[in-house]
Amino acid sequence: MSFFDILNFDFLSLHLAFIGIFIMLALSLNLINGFSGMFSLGHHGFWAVGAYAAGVFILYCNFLPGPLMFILSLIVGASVAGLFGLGVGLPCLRLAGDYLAIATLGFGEIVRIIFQNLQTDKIHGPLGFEIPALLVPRTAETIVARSLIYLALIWTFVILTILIIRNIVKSSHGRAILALRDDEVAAELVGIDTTRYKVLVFVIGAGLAGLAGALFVNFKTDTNPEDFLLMKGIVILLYVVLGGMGSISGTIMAVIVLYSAEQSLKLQLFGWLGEDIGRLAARWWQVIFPLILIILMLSRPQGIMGKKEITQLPLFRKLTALLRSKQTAPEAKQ
Amino acid sequence: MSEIHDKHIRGDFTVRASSPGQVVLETKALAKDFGGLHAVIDFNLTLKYKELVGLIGPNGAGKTTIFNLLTGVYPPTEGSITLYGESLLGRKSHEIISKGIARTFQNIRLFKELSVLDNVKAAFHFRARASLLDSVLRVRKFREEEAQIEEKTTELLSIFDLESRKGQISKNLPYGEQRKLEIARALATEPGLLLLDEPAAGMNPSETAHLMELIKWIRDRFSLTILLIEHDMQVVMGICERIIVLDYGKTIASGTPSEVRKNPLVIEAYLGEQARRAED
Repeated sequence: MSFFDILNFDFLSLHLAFIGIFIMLALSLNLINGFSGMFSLGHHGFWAVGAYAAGVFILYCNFLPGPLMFILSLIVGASVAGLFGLGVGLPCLRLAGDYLAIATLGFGEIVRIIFQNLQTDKIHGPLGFEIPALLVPRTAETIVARSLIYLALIWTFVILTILIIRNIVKSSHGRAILALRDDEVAAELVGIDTTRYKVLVFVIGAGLAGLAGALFVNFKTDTNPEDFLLMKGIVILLYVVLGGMGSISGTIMAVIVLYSAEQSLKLQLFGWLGEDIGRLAARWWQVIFPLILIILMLSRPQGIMGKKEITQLPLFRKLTALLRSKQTAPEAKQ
Repeated sequence: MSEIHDKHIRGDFTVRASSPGQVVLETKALAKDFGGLHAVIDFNLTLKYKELVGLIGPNGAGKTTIFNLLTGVYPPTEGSITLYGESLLGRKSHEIISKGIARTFQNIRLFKELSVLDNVKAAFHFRARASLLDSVLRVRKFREEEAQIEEKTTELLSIFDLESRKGQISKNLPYGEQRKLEIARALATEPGLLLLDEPAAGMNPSETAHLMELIKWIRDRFSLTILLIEHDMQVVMGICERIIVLDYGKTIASGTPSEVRKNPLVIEAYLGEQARRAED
């Protein structure tokens, strides 16, 4: 694949959709790992539960018109994953740090292995399942419209996720979550029900990951347990850590930059530097990509943004001040 | 200023005790064992409205353990604790705080990465009524409540001369201001009883003198009952109306500062410790 193939519509829409879904996953994990200070390694599990719950619902309850089924499948995916979040959160609350990480890692793997062995008339174990396209049929004529509709939908949900997490963090509930992260004992002793908030964070994080799963399966129309390997969970965690634990804008940047870097290496997009280099990069991507990560972690251990948001950067402030002064300047003259 | 302050900070505060002589806190035969170690033995305490009582004793006497028992950090092995006549046994810490006890810590425990403002705001949390959905949707109820919390917080910070620091990350404050912020945060929970664990630790003499004034002043301003652990004898003798002396978990003396000072058991406990230290 050459560099200019990026401009191919199918290619762009596919990867923009995946970037959107990974932003949702990384942001919801950041709520758990970054803002509340717990450590979950099982986010791919909640993602898989959301995808499978939505898939099963569509496969076995497909009696309603497509758009309605689509919306209901999102609700089902999010709520079932949220319930799993409650189920994992409650017993795991007694655990902290490394132990919590191991327990959630176990959860993610159990989920995948159960799905790998799930055999029904419509779900075929390791081969997964295929659902009918709900909103727009997948034919040669409609493929462009379908991609555009899904891109719009996925990115609407990305913006919703950003708003939900931002509004939670910047509220009394958010302060309770941040206080819990900084000092659990002190949080409890200023009247914060720390147990309740730990469970709540798990449920919200899992629910949003489930929503991402439901969107993912509707967009792809087929999936299998291989889509939810532990490595995917680790990549989501990487986005969070490298973006900045507790930074929404940092997470978004990390997903965009790292996802693009990974795909560019894999798909020989560096072919424009010479065909050999492109091929070499593709063959060595699993070495080059981790090297990039190591260098990033060494040079900026707090992640791209640390705990800050892009709006808190001096450059951003100057820019907005400049824009504002330009807007108000003509009025001042009058 | 005073009226505005009273209206806002104390506005929705149900008056739990208001007349002198009314009992705020009572413990009976309170005991705590850690394995074979008797950290606290038969501790009896009655705190009356607006009293300022000191809890002293050599290191390891069980003072902080008593604070932890009172705030539900761990359950007592034996005995009872009642606040305004209601038993606190089996209650979780956050419930006890909501019933009107607040505390500070020997080794300051601020929310280090949060701003000064958010540290205090976090302590208003349990009174906030806007649900998670209200917060996500930013409904009017939420916005009004946030504005109210902001106002109350700013007022509290201005009382402690911390208003100019409100945007700073709390771990970057100088030590004395961190202590003050911790007290401000404790007051934000609108307590009737305030437990201060070595508030003067690490302060220089002038800061200590200022702190003594401040403690007396907040007691009157917020109508507080205060129980105070302190090693600095000048502070304890200077502001406490009553002193309780612990040694090896036992109450060895209690009374006014002058009574306690003359008590031979107290002198022995302290001199004994000094003698041991000298030998080391």
